[in-house]
Amino acid sequence: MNFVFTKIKTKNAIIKVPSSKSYTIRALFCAFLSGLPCEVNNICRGEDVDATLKCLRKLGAKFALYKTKVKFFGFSKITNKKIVLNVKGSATLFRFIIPVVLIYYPNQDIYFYVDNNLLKRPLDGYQDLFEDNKIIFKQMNGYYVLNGEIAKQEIRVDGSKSSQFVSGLLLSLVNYHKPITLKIINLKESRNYVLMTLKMMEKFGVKLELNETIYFNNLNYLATNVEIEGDYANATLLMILALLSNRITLKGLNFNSLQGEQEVKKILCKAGASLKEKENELIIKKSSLNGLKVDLENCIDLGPCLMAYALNLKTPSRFYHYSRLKYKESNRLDVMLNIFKKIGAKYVLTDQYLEIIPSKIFFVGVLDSYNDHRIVMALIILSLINKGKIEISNFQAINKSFPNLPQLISKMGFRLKENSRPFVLTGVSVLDNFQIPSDGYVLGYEKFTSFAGKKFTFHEIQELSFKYNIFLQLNALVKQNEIQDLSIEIEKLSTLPISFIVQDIGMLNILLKKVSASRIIFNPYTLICNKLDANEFSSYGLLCVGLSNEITLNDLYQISLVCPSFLSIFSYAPMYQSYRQNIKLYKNYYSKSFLNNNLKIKERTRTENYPILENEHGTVIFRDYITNYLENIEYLENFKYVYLDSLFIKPTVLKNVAILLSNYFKNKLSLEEFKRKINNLGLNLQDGFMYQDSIYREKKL
Amino acid sequence: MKKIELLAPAGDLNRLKLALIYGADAVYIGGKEFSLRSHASNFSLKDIKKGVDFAHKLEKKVYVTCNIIMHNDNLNNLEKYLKKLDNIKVDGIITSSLAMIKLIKSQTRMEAHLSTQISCLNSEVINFFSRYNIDRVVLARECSLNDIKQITKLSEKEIEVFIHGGMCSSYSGKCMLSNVMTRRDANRGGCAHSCRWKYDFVKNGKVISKENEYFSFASKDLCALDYIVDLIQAGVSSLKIEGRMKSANYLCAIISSYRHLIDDYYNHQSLDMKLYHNLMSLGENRHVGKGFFEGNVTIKEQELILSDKFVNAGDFIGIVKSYNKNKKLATIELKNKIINNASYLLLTPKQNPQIIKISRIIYQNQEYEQYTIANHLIRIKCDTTLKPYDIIHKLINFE
Repeated sequence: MNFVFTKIKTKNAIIKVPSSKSYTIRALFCAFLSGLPCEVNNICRGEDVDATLKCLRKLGAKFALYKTKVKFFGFSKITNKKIVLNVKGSATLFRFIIPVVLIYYPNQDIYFYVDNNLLKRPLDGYQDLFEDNKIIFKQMNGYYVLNGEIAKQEIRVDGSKSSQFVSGLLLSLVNYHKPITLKIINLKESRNYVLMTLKMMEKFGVKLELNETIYFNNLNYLATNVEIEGDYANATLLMILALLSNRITLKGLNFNSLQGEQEVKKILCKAGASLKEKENELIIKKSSLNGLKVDLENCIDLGPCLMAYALNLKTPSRFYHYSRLKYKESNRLDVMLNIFKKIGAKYVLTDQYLEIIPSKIFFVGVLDSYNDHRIVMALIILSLINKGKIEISNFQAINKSFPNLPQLISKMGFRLKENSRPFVLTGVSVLDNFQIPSDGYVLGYEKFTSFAGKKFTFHEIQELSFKYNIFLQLNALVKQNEIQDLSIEIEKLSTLPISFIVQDIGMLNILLKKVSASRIIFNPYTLICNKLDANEFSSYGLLCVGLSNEITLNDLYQISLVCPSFLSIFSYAPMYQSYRQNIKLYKNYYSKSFLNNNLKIKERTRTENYPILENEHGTVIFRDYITNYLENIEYLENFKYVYLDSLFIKPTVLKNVAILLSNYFKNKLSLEEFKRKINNLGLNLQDGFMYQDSIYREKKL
Repeated sequence: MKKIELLAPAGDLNRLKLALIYGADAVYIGGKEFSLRSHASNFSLKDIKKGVDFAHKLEKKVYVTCNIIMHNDNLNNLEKYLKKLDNIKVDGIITSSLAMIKLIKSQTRMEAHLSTQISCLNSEVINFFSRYNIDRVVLARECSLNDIKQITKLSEKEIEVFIHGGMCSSYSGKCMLSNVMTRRDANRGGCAHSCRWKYDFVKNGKVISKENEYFSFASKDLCALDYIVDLIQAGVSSLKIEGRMKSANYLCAIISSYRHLIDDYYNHQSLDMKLYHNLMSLGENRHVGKGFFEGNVTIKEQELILSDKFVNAGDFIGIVKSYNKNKKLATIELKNKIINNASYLLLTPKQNPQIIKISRIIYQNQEYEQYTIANHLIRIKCDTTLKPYDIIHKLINFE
């Protein structure tokens, strides 16, 4: 699923923070292990919690699931049934449930299914446990089998692999039938997660101190009702969105929480954020912050969001203890740094810290979440900072901990929507065109633009590029003796946060060497008429490929299904491009001196007047009508970009058309109404080749 | 250095043979599928095979043009068709489609030549297509001699350059005049030559050109006789003559002219430009210009100033089919009126043109003083020894 994040109109909002997934899972285990009637309220719904509940049920838990509440009735042991547990993508669940199984179902085969993206060796931390107790844990083809029991009276666990191994043993050893000792070594980072485990156990009546050696003797979980507190890692996303846009009030956070991520408040305040704690509410106002200093040791989940946010601060930010980012749902360090490279953000990575340097970001294209919910969140922040348009792929990863995110942030005036409409680009012939609602603006350049609504200088483009999403229409065909000059121009232009629309394949080749392919639309006008060729060009990772205006609607539709496509949907399309100075030669020959502005030509036996242009790149002749695809807009949903041209079209008309289209896409206008209003504009709109294919093979003479 | 290739068009099997005999090193032809020039009587697979066999016996080559801009409907059977062409040993395919190039290079043993439809104006275009292992690039006709020299220097691929024949007014492949105005798609072989029509300039709804000062932006034909040596020295691999729809007479004269020039150059003979131009004049039927060789075109390359196209109507008398040395009688396929006891010009594949006299005209055992029915096989008496494929041409006074 590809989603796009957009700012509609931000507003003050009061939002209940989604509850902590970590606490939810811990509470569910405690409730299960108690074997008694318990209630866990305000749970965090998401894939991990759902998987946890399913697994616990497989192990014999009796409970009823409500919207945000689980009511436990007790436990009854499963007999005569193979136990198959699907832990999906939850490392926490996998690690918590292993010792539980060993205690509840000793010496029998237990089968585990695990999602592919879970780490390669997810149970490293239990190596000592398995070896000391001769427990068999085998990886089979697509699943794991566990068989054994805890036999030794002393269990050793290495906390350096993950605190989750420590937590798993703490939770389960309470119910071991004999006194037992847990020896914890190397527990440094993420210590607070273990404290969270102990805190939850305490709520269920089991009080233990975190020491290197812990004795379990005659402990019992009690029947309890608990309320899960808000999650600071998820709240961090909302806080940053507020800092970047508007005030929000967050509810449901515990100000004395043990969650390591609650550190975010201090981190942000130190950098100048306005955060106010008022009774049970946290109020955050829009503010401009200095660089952050973040020690990730106990709040590793803050990493991706704060790293993204750091790009928009006044001074550089530093992140210490970043190495554990590598061992999360994805290798978050590599993923984030790759994203930074892709979007052109600057950073310095040393052994001690990662420094992120504030950078103006312009990126248009798709960024992958690597199926990691925290990366999705970081990409949402990048979307807000970015001048271009980001499509977040594998957005569904958000369901792991924050499935109601789209609904929640719509309260703040943001929209997260599956990308099912084309981006609209609008040509600029007068500066007023920038007032037109559009996903991007198409400008001509003083050099290498053959025809465009208006040509701009480098400095004008530079200035505009920080305000708007700019697409430069470099549609000249390039002579060999211009190649050097072109390379210099492209070198210069590549530093600007803009995208390019090009016709010449040589120019495409130069651009591919200088800028990311995702910033290039290859639009050779007449050349791309079938899906094979379209696909072949798009295989370079181009933003999209421009399809010919001379093929049928059906062909356009078919091609748009297989390749990211671009189409001029409202334009006086060119029908002749030549290097010849036809008008100049004519004027010289007949000694004429008429000006070329508003010039048209008419074939002597016909009535149509065709616009004609001439400049140093040659002569271009256009159709006498606007090829109008708006009449069929519903067939163009799969197009990635559609283009409203400004050449020969009055700015007021273009504005009207763009507003109507924008309103149609926002569902403010029905399809019928939209079409009716377009047709009422009184323009010479025609279907071009949409329905009628050319007659190209005549009978033999 | 490898000798430059002279590449000629052929509209049918007969012209293919003539083109090769008159000195082309290779011919390009259109198949029934995927080829531009729908008016050219395109080749069936059977004829392609005959043509290829004929060419290969002479150690010459046949390329097949598959240069339409394909729409989705055109994609069916593409691979099958290419494999069939491969099986009958076609040497190369001329195409503008990236997808087709990929198929040719992965599924067949044939060469892939990038069509001029791509408008290859610079070496970066070649760099782009080099990834696909293309063998040759046909440059856009808009390239100047200097451009050609530079591109050839920078490119590792074979470079082919148009030297003679029709010029599009627009960049090739970019012209939709015919398609928009008549629904005949030039990119799929239906060009109606709308650039040759008469236009008026219009401003604010009013025609501003005078009746006799119409605007036309068609191009004169190209003739590169004066640039051949430069092109050879630049390292160009192939010189291409345009005109799959042109007559046998035209082809033979043009090919012969360039053949003489190229051979004289490689044989270190002095170049007799007058002879080459004279030879060419036997075939010319339209005014010619220098194209873009010197840079952008001038008024001399535009058809604007010449509405009266001159055609050498009736100049092509016939082709010799056989000759009986004892009786001194030649069988010829007649194309235009022939008159007894008149002198004619003889064009042969190898020698310079010479004057011949005929003294009898016989059709089905009956003697004639003149004969006019085209395509009839007649016999003529001629003391000069004639050979099959020799061409009899109206006598003209060379300058």
